[in-house]
Amino acid sequence: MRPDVREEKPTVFFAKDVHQITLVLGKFLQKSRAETVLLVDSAGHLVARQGHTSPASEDTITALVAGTFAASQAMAQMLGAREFSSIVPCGDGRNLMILRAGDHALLAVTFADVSSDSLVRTYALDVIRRLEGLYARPGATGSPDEKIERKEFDKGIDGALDGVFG
Amino acid sequence: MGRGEAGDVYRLVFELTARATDVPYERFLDELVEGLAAHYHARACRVHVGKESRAAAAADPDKSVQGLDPANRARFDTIDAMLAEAVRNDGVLRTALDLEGGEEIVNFLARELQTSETFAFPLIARGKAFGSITLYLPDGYPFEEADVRGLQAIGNVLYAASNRGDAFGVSGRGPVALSSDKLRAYQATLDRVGKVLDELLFLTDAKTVLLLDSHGDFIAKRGEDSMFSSTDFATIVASGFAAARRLAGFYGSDGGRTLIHEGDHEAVLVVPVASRALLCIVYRDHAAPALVVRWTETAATRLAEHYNALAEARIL
Repeated sequence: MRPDVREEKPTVFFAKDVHQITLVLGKFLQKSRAETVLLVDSAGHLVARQGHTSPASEDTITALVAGTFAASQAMAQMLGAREFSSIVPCGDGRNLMILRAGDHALLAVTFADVSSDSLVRTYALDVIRRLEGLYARPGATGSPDEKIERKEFDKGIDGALDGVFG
Repeated sequence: MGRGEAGDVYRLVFELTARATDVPYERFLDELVEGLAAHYHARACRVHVGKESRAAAAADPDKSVQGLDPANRARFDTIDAMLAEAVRNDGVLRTALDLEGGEEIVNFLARELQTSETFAFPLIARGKAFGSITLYLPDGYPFEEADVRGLQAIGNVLYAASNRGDAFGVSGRGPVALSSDKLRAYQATLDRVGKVLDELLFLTDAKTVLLLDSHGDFIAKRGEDSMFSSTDFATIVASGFAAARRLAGFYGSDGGRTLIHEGDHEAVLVVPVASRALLCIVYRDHAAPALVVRWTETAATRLAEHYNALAEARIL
């Protein structure tokens, strides 16, 4: 039987929060001159995105982002470090940076070499602080029908991972 | 090589340190000071290592120092030793003006050597200054952060070089009595692979250098003993690299590239070797991470030359 890798409590985002998150991500793109920013939950579900359209299925991209990040966290844990961020060089001089955004989400940013690594990181850390503020807001609740629960994505993600790793 | 930008400084350091493992320590020091003097167009360059007041190596490209009369030569040596000692004591970069009697010293150097600026850079390793590089320059040079980082990277290599012993013999573990020619060939190739890993560890001052195949099977390791299993670590490195490579492919990458995981105090760099193996290096805060990447990619290229042997090593 396939082990269930999603045992933790599902993360819930409300539609109005997602709207705010999208605004924060949009500002980040303007300031950092990055190309795309994705907010992905730790199981690989897309929460919000801004910027260029992804070159492949977003489910696949976000699952791979979560996979890369999970490996880097496992390495950090073995080395006794708090956490690692990852930088993946892509084609045409672009890079993909993956950072932890709070306890349950990741930020994946693609940027060209012209935007420096440290500039993107600085603005990304600012975004992460803002996002953490949103998660922690006491009034961050909504009606049940506003909830975007991640369980509904699980089947789709499983399919995407099977497609990638066979 | 002329004065220039950050890339030039890193290229200089890369070239100067590339032979650190191939030549005797004293010769490495001589080549180092000569290279630095040429790059910065210095009248003189000296490297001090440890508490010795006498420089471990000196370059005097246009014989300015050699041409001094004995009294002035002795005075120059004293100034150089004072700079070296001051920098070694607290690890802070200094100019001649910072010394006691600085103005008089500056005037002396300008008069006798036609130098307008003198810099002494600390050589720091493991958080402690253990020596210095002094540069006597004929005109003002706009030192940038890259220069300081590059010279700091030299410090790491020098520290390792001064403590290295005979770590780079091809057959460091002593003769192994093998009866088969094929086994002897395997052993020779494994020794060469080990030498590349030893040299990479030495240049980067890394904690650990790990060679694994792209499926996550552990092949070889150099560096500090770790609390975790190298086999488990290799598996995680390989799985992270596989996901990252596929991800990069969606964004237009045409093949395996370097993957960097960065933490507050440590970083992990993963570089593919001949698209079948991975070279992974765990290093602490480094003054010039760009140089670590360059050294590691060069090591990966050298390892790729032993590609067939690596495959055999995995079987063994």
